[in-house]
Amino acid sequence: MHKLISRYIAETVRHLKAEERVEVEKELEANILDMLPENPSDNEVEQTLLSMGSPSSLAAKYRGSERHLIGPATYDTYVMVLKIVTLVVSLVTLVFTTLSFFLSPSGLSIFEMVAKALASIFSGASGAFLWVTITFALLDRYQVKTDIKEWNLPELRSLEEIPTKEIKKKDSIADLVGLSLFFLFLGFLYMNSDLLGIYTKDGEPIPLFIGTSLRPYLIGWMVTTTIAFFVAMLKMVRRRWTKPLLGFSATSDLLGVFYFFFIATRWQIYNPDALLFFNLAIEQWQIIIKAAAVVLLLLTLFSIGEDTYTTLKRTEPDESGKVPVR
Amino acid sequence: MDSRELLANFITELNRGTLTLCVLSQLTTPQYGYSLLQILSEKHIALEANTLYPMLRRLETQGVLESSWNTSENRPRKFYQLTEEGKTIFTALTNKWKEQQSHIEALLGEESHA
Repeated sequence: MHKLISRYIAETVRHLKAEERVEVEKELEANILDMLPENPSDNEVEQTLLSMGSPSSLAAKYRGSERHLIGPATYDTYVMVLKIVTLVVSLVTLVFTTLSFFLSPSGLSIFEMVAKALASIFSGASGAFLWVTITFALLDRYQVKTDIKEWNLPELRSLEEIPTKEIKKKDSIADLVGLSLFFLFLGFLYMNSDLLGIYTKDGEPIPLFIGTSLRPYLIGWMVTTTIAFFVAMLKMVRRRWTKPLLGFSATSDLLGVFYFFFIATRWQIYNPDALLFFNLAIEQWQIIIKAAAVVLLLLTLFSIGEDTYTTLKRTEPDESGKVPVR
Repeated sequence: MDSRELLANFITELNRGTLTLCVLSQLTTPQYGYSLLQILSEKHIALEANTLYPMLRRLETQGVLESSWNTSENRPRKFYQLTEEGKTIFTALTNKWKEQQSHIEALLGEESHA
């Protein structure tokens, strides 16, 4: 047999299952020879093989189904799970790496810490990607049904509204109420910082803060709270997310968090007696505060991320303000 | 994708089912791959070898066709033929085709007068 023909056939059946190879090989050989005259020229062989298409495309036709790692039926669920798992793993890795820096100071510079944190996140996220992909590839291979729910009409009716850029009025009101209460609390603390303390059955109450040290910082905090209050009012008036509003909101959120860091790390504001009562050394307290700061910053960044997504990706609310249109 | 490519895609899709019907129609008597290709080509059915050969094999694994190797001639050839189940399916498919064709004809006729 012509050398090119046997090479073509070998290349085709290479892509097939082992148990099919022998039969297809035999059949393909007979068919190709049928298509050629007796004692074909090289050119005739070449033309015939060219007309058959590439060996891999012919093999694909023999297999009948396309080969894929994760098929169209599973793909949407795969992407959704991948996003969630990667996000969660990255956040958890970030929190633990950051905490480990505070809990066991290693003398690394801030850049080294950031680099190390990024490296851990990268390795964590890659691992998540790998395992989610492997899981879904296996599910796909064994044809496990991954639709989240059975599809029916009552379910369609009960689906939640699609979130839009709308800012719910009740959310704005809750913000305003919360900020007002916080402002009042700060004012109370400013005037009567000694009243916030530990009350025991016997003896004088132990104040948590040193009033004279704390007071100057409280004014700044009242300012940032007022700014947040104005942003909340703006949200209530605008009723939908816009880019400028996102800018104001994110700035005000970050300002609040950083001002909290600033106050909370003025170590002279804490009453040593109160720390003593809790059996805490100032060093331990510093670690707790720093850890709390990290968690707070993460939560704020997460919330800003969600607001950004809403502003950039979600649809405008319907004019009636009730049912969003897709 | 330009419109010629788009049209080619539509034609491929349109052919996908009908080519099976064409192939089945010729297999009440045993045929081998190349003879089938020639018969169909004479009857103006454009079917490429690289589509027909895998199709025959798939129809065999589905139980619609059965095959046997004929080794009496100078070269062995694999002959395909409808199974009993294949004959039933072919008849049903033919009826469905006629029914659909008359419906579609009616639709297309409507369109041209519109």
